[in-house]
Amino acid sequence: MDIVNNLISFFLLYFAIGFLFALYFAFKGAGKIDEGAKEVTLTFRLLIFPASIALWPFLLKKVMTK
Amino acid sequence: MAVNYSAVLWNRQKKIYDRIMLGLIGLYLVLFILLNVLFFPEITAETLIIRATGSCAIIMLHIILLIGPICRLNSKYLPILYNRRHLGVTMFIIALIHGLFSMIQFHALGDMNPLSSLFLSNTHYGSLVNFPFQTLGFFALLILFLMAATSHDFWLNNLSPKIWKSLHMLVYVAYALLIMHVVLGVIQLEKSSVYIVLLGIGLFCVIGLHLVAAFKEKRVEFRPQKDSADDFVEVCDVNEIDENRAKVILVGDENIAIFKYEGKLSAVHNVCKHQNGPLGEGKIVDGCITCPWHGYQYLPENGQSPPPFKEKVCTYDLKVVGSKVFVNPKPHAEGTAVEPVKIT
Repeated sequence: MDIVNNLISFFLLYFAIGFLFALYFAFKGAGKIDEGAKEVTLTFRLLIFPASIALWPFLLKKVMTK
Repeated sequence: MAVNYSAVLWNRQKKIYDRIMLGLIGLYLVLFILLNVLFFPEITAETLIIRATGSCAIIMLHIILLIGPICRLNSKYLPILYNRRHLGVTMFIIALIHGLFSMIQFHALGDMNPLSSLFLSNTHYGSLVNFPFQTLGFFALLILFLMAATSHDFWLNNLSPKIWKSLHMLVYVAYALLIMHVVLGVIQLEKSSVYIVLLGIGLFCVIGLHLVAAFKEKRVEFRPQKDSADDFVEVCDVNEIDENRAKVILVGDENIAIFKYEGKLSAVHNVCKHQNGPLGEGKIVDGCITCPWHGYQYLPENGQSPPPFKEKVCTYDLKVVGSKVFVNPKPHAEGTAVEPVKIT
């Protein structure tokens, strides 16, 4: 039971950090790693928001190496 | 093929496709709800929504999985492949509604955290018949979320086609989880075996059509690589290639599509840069090789996408002797111009 609750806490923490990262990535970071994402619409930024939450460690590494 | 990304690259076909898709989904949901209200008047609104969206999503997933092999078997169905990602995202949204209502109905009304309740309210993990089937649906929904969220070309370009494709191949894991989710759910909650039979037919169609399509792909002609990389390999007679279409051939490890158009022949690598689609199963449209999967285009004489797009594929030397077509399997660098071979 403790294992399940710990895993759920980790899961929620992962997505909470991801949400904060996605705010940065969708509005600024995406343009750093891809020229085509610099001048885009708000709808496009909202569209890439959910995956930015889920994939934040991978994207953070990509943004930091740029 | 985008310079600056758009949220959705709408065109007339996509709009028609989406209208038909949404119309059919709406029709299914209305019919399902009406029939259930008629035959099971005691059913609650929450249960009705859970069942309607769950059954709709699993039917849509079967259609999505069947589109690929059907199009490989018969190219006239390709138009339904072009907009498959809209179908996938819509299916995820419907599955998400199913999941949210299930969480509210079964796990949100107690004093336990809903996620904890999902995993701990039924702990018969060692039992096949009493297994907590909702957890399988939860993991399948996570996979479907990842796929729907990364369905835009921005993710394809920035995750790399290899990682993106691997991620999207997880649909088969999600499908297996959902088959178990439905089977165990029906065993535990339903008396009728109709759902199991329907699911069995769906599973049979998905596996059967994938096997038939894979068998067809194995029949692509193969020629062994010659000792010298400069040697040309005989492919076929010129007349075997239809106008604006291609002959696909494997020479050693090289997958080559030879296109015939406007009295000329050109050869390019058969794999599209977008999602590894089979260019040789596409055709020449407006002077460009057009991938049958999502319409990415390449100029046949140099393998480059028309400006301002930047995708490139390898090109190959060809020659025609009499009416026989020969190809040199040594590829030129991606985007290298090769003079098309004129045919009489």
